Amino acid sequence: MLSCKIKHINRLGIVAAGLLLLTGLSSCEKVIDVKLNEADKKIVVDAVLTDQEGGCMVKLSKTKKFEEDNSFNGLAGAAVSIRDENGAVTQLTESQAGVYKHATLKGMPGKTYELTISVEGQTIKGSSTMPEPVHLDSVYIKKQKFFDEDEIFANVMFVDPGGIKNYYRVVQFINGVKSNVNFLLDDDLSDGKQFNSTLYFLPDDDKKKIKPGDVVTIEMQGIDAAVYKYWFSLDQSASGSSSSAAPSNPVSNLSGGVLGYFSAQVVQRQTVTAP
Amino acid sequence: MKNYCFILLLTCSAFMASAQKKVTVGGVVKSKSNGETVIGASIKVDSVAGTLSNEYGFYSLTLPEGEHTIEITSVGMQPQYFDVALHRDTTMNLTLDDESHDLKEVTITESTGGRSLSSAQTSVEKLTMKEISNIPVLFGERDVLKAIQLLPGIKSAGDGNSGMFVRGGAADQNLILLDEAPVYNASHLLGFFSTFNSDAVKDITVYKGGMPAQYGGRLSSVLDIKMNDGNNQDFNVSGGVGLISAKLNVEGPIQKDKSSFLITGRRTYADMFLKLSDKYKDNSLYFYDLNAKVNYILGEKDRLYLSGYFGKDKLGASLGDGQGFGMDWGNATATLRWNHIFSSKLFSNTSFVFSNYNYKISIKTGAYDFRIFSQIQDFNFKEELQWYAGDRNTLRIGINSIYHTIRPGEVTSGDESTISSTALQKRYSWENAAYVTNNWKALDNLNITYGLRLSAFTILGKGDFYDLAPDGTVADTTHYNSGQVVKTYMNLEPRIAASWQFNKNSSVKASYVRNAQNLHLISNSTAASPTDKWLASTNIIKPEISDQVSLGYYRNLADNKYELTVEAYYKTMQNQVDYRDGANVYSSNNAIESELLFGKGRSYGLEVLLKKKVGRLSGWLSYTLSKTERQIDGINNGEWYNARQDRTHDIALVATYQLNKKWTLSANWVYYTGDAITFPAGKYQVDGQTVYYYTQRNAYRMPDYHRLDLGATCKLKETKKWSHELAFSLYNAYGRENAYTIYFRDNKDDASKTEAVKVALFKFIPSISYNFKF
Repeated sequence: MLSCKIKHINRLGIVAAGLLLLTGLSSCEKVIDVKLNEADKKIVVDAVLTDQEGGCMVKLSKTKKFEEDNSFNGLAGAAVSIRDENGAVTQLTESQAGVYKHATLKGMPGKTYELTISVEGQTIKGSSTMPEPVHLDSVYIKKQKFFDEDEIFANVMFVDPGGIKNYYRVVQFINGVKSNVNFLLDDDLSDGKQFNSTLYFLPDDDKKKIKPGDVVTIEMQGIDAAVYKYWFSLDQSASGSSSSAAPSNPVSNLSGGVLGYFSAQVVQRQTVTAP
Repeated sequence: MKNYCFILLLTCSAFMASAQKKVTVGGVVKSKSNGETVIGASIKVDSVAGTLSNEYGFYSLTLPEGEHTIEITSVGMQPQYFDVALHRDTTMNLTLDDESHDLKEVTITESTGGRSLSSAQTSVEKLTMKEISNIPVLFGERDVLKAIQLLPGIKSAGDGNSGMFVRGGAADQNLILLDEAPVYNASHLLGFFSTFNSDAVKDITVYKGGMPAQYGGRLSSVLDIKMNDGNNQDFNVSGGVGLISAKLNVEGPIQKDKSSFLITGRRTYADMFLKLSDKYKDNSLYFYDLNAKVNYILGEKDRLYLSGYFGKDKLGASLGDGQGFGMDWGNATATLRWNHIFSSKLFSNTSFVFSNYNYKISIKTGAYDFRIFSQIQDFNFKEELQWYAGDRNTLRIGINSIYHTIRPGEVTSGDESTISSTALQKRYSWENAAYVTNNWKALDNLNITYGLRLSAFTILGKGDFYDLAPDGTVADTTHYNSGQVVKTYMNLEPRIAASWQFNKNSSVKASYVRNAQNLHLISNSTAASPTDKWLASTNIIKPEISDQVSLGYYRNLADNKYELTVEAYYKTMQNQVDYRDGANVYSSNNAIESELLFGKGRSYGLEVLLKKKVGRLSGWLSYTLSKTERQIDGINNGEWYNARQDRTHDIALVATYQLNKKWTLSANWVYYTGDAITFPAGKYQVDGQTVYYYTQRNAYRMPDYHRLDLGATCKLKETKKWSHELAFSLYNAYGRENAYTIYFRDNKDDASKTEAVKVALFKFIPSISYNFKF
């Protein structure tokens, strides 16, 4: 949590520099062409097992060139399976190119699961432990001043269980569209505390902000330490932002030198309408 | 003809040297107008290079008994000649007059430009406040750190930034001293300004290599800044008002000729403008700093100096309803020094130095209500003896002892806050050094300086120290009690330099230096951040060590009007520190080592400086060709990669033209190869988000940087009693949009596309400032 707050502070620093620049000058942004070297395509794994039926989905793809579009580049023909602690192996089936699912498979909190993927003669493995669920007590939307501008933010309330490490990832959907931000919370300095956290979201485009009447869905995921590290490092160094000194690939919990992660996570959702 | 006499004289004196009785003359060189001691004044005897005054203005010469002509010269001062008859050891204080302001060419001597052909010191740069005062600057804020970035081998950390990289070193590898006190964060407002108010500064010396043995503790450079002592002749008030800041300097005698004081303050007021706008009225953003100094001449032989610096940045943003973010940070230093002249041959200085840097962050939003505090604090004792052992040897012997306390982070929380109060363990260390160095005039044209510094860094309890498994996780923890020694790192640091002067106009010099560094700043952002972390060496973090050789050729051209310096260097660095990928800088984890990686670095280059020192047109052209690389296991597959500050070419052209008595025009142009940076090799989608795929570290380049700045100073009135002037400047005169950063994002209107975006900061920044003095 602290790190998220600090990130706000750093952002604040940038805003502050901006304020300074206001006094007689302007910074300017321009879209430019950069010549990027081509690299070998790499396999990307986006694998999730949840505590709910139908929540299990493994998406396999390959990296794309920077100039290409962002559409999903599915990697078909893989054998994907998930093994539980008792040794029971469940095969996933390919529902569309690169998307592997199981209609009924769900995980149990406290249990460790192992993902195995065989594709293009390569075996990829990863394991993840599903945390105990933490009840999302409430989601509310509140107008707040931010640099003397009125902004609307979502807030989440829950009580962190004491005595164990907990990691949370919160995802926000506005009218069904996922906001391009990861809210990462941990109890490093808040063990056993009541959380009442504002999800600060300041997109580059005003259209993407929450407006009165919007239907906002908040998904709170309980994730394990390795998956938290994955999202944390992704935010820090692979999201394209300029503040990181050393861009690098997120820290993966998968073997085989591939990109991506496997998360056994507990998921809760709440939907509210912005007043 | 004159040369022949000169040689004859030399030969004679060499023959007669052993036969004649020697006497010593010593004292302090001062400015006549304000009583300030003069640092680095060149003292010649009978037209032969003699010595330079030291950092307290003290000089000592051992001469054959008899009559001599002593000539003293210093930058910006009128040369003085004294005829003396010496029969016994003598104390003689010398005074120099300020240079007259008329335009006729002054006599040019070797030392006019400050560089000495004969001294063995290599890789040193000096700038006088006079040279700095006319350089056009951003927002009209004269800045010593930005001025020295125009010299070869010293690179700016970015557009408008006061941070610097010297000969491939990192930003934390510069030892920045203000009146001997280390300054841990030398920047204001996220690096756009330095903490040094140029009005209070007397002398700046930068060592890029060949550091003398009295300096230690950082790998790449020493930036030694001396504050003015304060005028002990007359009261003076000077000041200035610029677009973003105002400053005032008051100095004068407490007791004429005996004691004086100086107070200099500066505050920015950009935030005053913010208050005018409704939108930002509850936000704050400013810095101020205060320099103060008093000094007492206690008698012929003793002098006391007490100087201090205090600076603070404040930044605050309101979230309404009494909620908000705030952050402030600043340095405080205090130095008490006692000069004692035991004899005209033996000079002593004793210093007690205190230095502190801290930052505070406060956050109050929703259920969060807490403050973060971090600090590094030093108590420092130094004793140095300078012994002018004869006409051929000058020794320096000294000790230095510093006790460091680092508080890496403490969180204090309100009762209702989601965050719990917690503190990372404090770290204690004791840094000791002893050194001896000798300047040996081996031959009349061969000077050799050789010395040795022994440094010992002792890590003390109390605290937990760790052993790590190969994957970086903690394998074992050992607890040490208060005062218990955890480990001591000893390093022997040899310092050797030699100069060979071919003739009156040229010399070659070579040096080798080893430096050890036990305090490490780790940062995970590109811009200097006040929250970057200082870490002391631990059982796992080893001392950083650098070895550097440099070789230089120095030549005065066209009757000493120009000076040319060409230097080459090669430097290796061990035990360099960097963050692991995905490191969480702000975790409550005490075993910070588990987030770090270690490796090495190398840097080499060629530097050329051509300086025109006198005349209506003065200035310099500097060029650096260089390469800087790092190799760290766990980064870039363990292969060598370019350091971010690796810039192949770096050019600066600085010119000042005195049009007439009223107007001085100036311009500088800089060009450098873009920084080495990491660009993605591709992209992919994870949970509906575009993620960038990286292959090689720092394999790309930012666009080349170049910029022209123009300046003009108009003296409105200048009399002995009072003067005032207007200074105009235009930063980035042709509006080059230099890339400050480049980032990548999905196209706003078409999310199926990604694009690269360049951010440029400063484009055509005009400024005006008014300065006065009476």
